Amino acid sequence: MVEPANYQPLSGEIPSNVNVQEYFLQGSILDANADKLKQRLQGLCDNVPPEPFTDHEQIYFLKNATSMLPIIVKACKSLAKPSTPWQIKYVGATEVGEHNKPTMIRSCVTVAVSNDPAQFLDNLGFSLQSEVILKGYFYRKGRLQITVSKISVPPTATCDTSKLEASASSHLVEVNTTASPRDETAGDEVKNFCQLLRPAIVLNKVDHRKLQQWQ
Amino acid sequence: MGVTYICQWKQPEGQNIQQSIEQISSCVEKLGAKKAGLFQVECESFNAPNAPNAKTLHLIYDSEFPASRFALFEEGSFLVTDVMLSAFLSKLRAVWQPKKGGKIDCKGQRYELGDFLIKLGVVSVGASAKGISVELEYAPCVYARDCWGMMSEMLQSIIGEQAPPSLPSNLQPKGTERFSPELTMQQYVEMFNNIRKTVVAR
Repeated sequence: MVEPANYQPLSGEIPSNVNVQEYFLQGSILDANADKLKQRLQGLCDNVPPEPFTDHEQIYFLKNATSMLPIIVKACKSLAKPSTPWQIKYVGATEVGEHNKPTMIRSCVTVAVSNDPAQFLDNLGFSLQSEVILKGYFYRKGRLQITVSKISVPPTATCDTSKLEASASSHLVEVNTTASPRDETAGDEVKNFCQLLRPAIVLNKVDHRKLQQWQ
Repeated sequence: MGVTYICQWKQPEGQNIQQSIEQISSCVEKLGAKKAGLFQVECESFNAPNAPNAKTLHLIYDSEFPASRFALFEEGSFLVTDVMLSAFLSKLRAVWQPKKGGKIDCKGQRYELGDFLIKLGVVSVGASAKGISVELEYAPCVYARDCWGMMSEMLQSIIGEQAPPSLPSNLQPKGTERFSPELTMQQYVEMFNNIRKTVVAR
């Protein structure tokens, strides 16, 4: 069995080479062209059929006295496979870096948890900020993982996935890998893969801070 | 995983920890229990110094569940997670910090006797031993009420008069719920808290 790109073995001790740095590039493609991109991705990913996924993501903020930026944690649950465990993901600040850095970098710690972590996160002081549903396809190539997904807002508390309202007429495309912070080659790997997707889609570094200023 | 009862062994006057451990283990071995490796339970406590209303968070590692970590808020929520939990908490260190002297552990011998699992441990803070723990697990059953009779009898033969006279309230989940590792971890946290308190009182 091929392990997923972000596989972290379960053992008594945290592995010393734990992958806590996420190297990623993002972009978007219009719905009309998404199918072409999917075909291209399937070809690049050794013709393995993509895995459909529907994930419910809740984004929690924790106010931090020492910094203006809140601590962000995402609680994710697969709606397509209800038997898979919940995950809580710490997502650090995104570093765009200098021109010589091939990708954006953020620290990322994923923990699988037994049940709904809402009360636990509440006890930690987190408050729910927003929630989205990501529905799309997941590809993998070596340790890279590629998602092509549609973002929508959950309709009601029941999360009836058949009645999702898409919030835009395009798909979000993300290529990422988690590796150790010392791994110099991971960023180049992501960048090189993204080059192969041109000209269907151009994935570039996006300065999230500038995006927030425009809002 | 079955029903587990944990208690602190109260040492008789004039007996040190080493002597007490020898006394209980010889008693357990006389019952016919076989040594089955060592065990370890670690508990680290965290608090949020800048949030006065925040409860204390206990992070527990138990060698019986090597791939899991347990997060328990005092009078709050409980969560079973994978080993990445400590890496996750270290990312929150701007708000959540390890309590000073908040690390306490319990190490010792593990015995098997038929369906029973008996663990005798020395509870220590840092390098100094503070007390003795006795854990008894009856593996085939997940309803405390149904197997308490047998467990009580076994406890009588191990710890004698210190065995509880009736089913302790912290072993009874609400309604007819099954016994879960949550109750085991709660008992450990309770015992660790009691041991810390008595040490301070001395």
